[in-house]
Amino acid sequence: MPIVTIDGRQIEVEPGTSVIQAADLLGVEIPRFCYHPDLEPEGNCRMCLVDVEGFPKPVVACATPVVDGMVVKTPHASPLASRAVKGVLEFLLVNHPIDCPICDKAGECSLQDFYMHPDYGQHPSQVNPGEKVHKRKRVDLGPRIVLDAERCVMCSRCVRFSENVTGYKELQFIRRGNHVELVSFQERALQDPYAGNFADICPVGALLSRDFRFKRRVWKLDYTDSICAGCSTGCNLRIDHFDGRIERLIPRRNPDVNRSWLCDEGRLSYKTLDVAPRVKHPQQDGEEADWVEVAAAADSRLRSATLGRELPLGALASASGTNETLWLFRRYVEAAFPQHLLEFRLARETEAVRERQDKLLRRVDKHPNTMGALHLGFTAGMGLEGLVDEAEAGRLGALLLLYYPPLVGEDSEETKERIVRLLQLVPESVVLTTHHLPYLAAAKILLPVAAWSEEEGTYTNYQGTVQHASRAVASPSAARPAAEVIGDLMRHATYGRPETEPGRVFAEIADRVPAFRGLRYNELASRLATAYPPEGRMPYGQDGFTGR
Amino acid sequence: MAKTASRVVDVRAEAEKHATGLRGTTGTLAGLGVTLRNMVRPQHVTIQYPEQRKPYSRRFRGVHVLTLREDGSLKCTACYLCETVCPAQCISIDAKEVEDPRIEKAPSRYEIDLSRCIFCGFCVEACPEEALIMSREYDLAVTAREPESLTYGIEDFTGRSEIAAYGAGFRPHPEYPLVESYVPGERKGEI
Amino acid sequence: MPDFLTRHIKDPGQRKLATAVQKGAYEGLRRALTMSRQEVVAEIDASGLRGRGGAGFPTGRKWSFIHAREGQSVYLLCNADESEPGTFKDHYLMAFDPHLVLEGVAIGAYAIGAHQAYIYLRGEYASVAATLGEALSEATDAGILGPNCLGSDFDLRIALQLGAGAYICGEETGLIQSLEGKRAYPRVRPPFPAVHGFLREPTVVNNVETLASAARIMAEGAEAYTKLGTKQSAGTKLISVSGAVERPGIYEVEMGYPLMEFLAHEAGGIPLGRRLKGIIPGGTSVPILTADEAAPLTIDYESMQSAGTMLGSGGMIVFDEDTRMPHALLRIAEFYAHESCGECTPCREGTGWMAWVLRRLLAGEGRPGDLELLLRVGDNIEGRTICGLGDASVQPVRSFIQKFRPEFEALEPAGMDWPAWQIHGHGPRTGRFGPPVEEAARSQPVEGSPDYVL
Repeated sequence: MPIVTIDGRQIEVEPGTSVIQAADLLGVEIPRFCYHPDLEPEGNCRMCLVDVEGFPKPVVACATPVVDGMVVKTPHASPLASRAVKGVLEFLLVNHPIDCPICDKAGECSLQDFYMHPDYGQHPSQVNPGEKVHKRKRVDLGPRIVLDAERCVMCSRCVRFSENVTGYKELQFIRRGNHVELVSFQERALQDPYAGNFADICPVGALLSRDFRFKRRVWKLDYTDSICAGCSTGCNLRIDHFDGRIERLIPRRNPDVNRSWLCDEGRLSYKTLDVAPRVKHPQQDGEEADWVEVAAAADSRLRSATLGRELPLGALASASGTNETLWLFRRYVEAAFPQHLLEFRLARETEAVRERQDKLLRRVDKHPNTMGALHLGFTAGMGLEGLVDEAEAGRLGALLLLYYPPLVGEDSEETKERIVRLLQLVPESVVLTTHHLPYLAAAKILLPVAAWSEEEGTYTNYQGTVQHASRAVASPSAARPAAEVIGDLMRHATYGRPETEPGRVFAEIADRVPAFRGLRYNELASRLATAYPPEGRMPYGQDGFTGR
Repeated sequence: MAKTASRVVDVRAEAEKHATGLRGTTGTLAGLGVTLRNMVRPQHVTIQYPEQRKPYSRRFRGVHVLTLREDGSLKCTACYLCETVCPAQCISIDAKEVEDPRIEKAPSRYEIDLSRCIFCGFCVEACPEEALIMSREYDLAVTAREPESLTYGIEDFTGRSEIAAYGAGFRPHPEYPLVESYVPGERKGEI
Repeated sequence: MPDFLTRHIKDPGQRKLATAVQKGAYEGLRRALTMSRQEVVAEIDASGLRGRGGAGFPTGRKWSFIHAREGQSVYLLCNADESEPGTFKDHYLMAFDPHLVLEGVAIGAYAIGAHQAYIYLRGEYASVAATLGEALSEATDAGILGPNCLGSDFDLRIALQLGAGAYICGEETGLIQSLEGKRAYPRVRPPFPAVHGFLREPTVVNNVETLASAARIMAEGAEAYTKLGTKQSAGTKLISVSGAVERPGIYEVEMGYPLMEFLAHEAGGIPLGRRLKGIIPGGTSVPILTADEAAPLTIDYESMQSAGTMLGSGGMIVFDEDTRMPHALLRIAEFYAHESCGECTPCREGTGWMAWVLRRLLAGEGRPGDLELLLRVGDNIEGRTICGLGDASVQPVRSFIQKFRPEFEALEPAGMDWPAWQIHGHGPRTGRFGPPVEEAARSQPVEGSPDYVL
């Protein structure tokens, strides 16, 4: 395999690797606009010019494959490359409006970052602001994206994404020279269900997310790594939040799951958390109650309704819970109720878990942890439908339901009707949920639990990959993570003092469940999906100047 | 050599010196003389505040002013630079879209909690458009304890007559002329 | 003057197949078809024919680079997008001797094993398209082209494609992209077109004159060609002369012909007895020569190279002593600014910037240091672009300023090193040559300036 030397450091790489990829592996920073690890290299921005020994001119690192013994010097080490990159950066700023103060990309803009770099930026301006070529600003590209053509650096990442990744081919350049301008096809709104990615891949403030526009300056945000809970794909994402409110979701790069992309539904899934009012306090028979007494009551009422009458407990946990929650749920049910029907299927999750909704990311199953539920032994097979049948036959003593409304889309009317019917039929019911939903109103005891983004834990995606999500924001009022609530139920039933801390629960799972064998919680939690921008660059906003 | 010592201050003698004689009286009379001289002097050092007020320097950092464009709209583009730089973290802004295609955005809410503000003027220095300047207004006393009572919004920074009454204060580029009509409020006092 | 290439160009009826065949058209193709592909390549190689489009790369070697793997198609593209300013030779070649061009295309295709060839014709040459199309159908109907050319087992389809009038389409890979139906953005090389060309297949792109010469060489034999010209630059070259000469036009010149003699005797000298000031010898993309530099030169690749310029496409532009060089340069710079395809940054922004600075110098609004700025911008473009047109745009700017510096210095004001607008950030809005007004108007429908001064 070829060995390449970059700025005096050697690395052995696969044949066909480009110089920029090798540099990224080494952690040597090469500035770039058009290169993106998940797009075809185009070589048009000329920002990644490097000095290769034996070449008379600087060459582009993104389109130059390494050969054995190649000696590369980046702008950090070579005056020739530094001069070249400086020149290119100066060109990029000739007609750039430099309206950073009102640009939403400011703070995470490549152009800004590169200009501030001492090795290739900070040249004095030679252009009067009045002399710049003006293009269209605030162009409406549909419900997701707003275009500012003046800020565009013509890197064509968006054009290539649209053409090669989603295949919608909705963006193209028109005109020539310094009047080149990005337009959508016939100036129509973008139809792409992955349009939100344009705002992520745009290295400057040309394509901006309509959702995030004007909302918050990026340096004000806090970042939490998480997993999308919108469907069974389990895309890696980052929750950007401020003051306990989620401001946006952006993808984290994971070449094995979602590459650098995120669908628009997943991207906006955090908004569905606000659609219905949250359950803020535990409720017993329609009245607000205290956690301590309600947990005791829930446990004893469930047990007297089942054990006393020799009837089984119907226990249904939707596959949106974390592995840790589902594991404790199962343990509680199995230990406290000798007769039980343990179930997780609301509809047809098991059939749909691998079914694709489109060719890129989206899947039909809108539960993030169906595979986890299967691995954790939720296999009764009768589903919600079966439980309703049992209840109708009078063979169900009580119901314990852990229910999360889906983040993407809604459960079918049929499912909702079944839940309503089930709650009406069983004499006792304890429902752990996040939102006040009309079809859960008949629950005898309602326990508020933390929604996605409010609790820590792991999810198993459709491939069987176990991924870790951190807690980003606080739950409203008295809502608590479901694992803790179930732990309380167990305590009150004096079934020991179970660990509810996700790391310890996970250790227990890894010990007992074959599918989790060998996995360590801390490793999952620290296994950041490959960062993009790569290591060498400052992570957004983590430059010690966050204004907070 | 034998060790020796001598008294430098005779405390008792000193005490007697001050307790008797005219020394203390002259000091008192000298002080009264200052008072008497100022009583008959025509100028007054103190003024009848709040009926009378002293004009402060043009660099005085008083309550903020949001300046206006010719058409009366806010110059502020909600860039959040003042919010970012504020060491007391007392500024909070929300942005909104505007109709005018030349203008990217405008604040829908612009609030400074003046009870937390330390009047350092960083916000004014950070403003790239001189949309935020300071006035020479300084009397901010309120009778309520709620934090809202000293949290000023857009209307307060543009609509209060005090701003014009006190005149414009600190601006980072005083070499540029201040167009008075862009400062909100009725012009009463000296600017 | 030699008439190797243009022997029949003035013959009446040469566009008609019958006349042309009578004058010996398609004899070269007939001969080539009796030879093997390698022999044809070897013959062209032996003739020393070099690419006539500008770069002067040996044609035989270019053809020999084609190694098609099993199942690959090979394409020959004839670059008839003649758009180098000052060059107009291919137009007449195609318009008056279309069969010679078609014969050349057929020979080239045969030599590289292509069964499909395209003639990429400049969009403005609509009349040529008609002529060429007519000749093509005539030759195809006669069985000269098409399946089983001239009764051999060689099949060849030739198609004519009109461009839409962009300079960049004359660039090898830009042409390929355009022919594929894409925006003519040149491709990053490597891979070269000989490996990954049209439709990702091995492709050769040749100039019209090159292929026409190849046709004549096959007809007359390589030796007849090497007899002409110099050792390194064999044969003849079509020179399009324009500018300050008595008889502008297209001349077939034997390589090695003294430049001054050519100007004085063939082109008729400079009108009104004026003196020569400069010559651009090969289209605007090559450095200009002063009269002194041009004096000892001969018309061939090596001589031009020794003077730091290139023979290029043979588009010779002559400037007399009355020419104002900054104005001439502005015309050239504006051409490149207008025609830059906008793909890669240095050319997209740099050409426009150079034109801008020149425009303000000529408008009397120049700033101190503008000449240095122009040269620096040029340095930042050169060698940093995807295709050669970035370099091409720099050559005239740099050579004009270097060689006629006093004229440019006269435009540059003396005074402050650092203009005031750079200190205060907001400069005056210059009305005289601001951004294109229609652009500004479109983006800002409301009247007035968005800047407000407090």
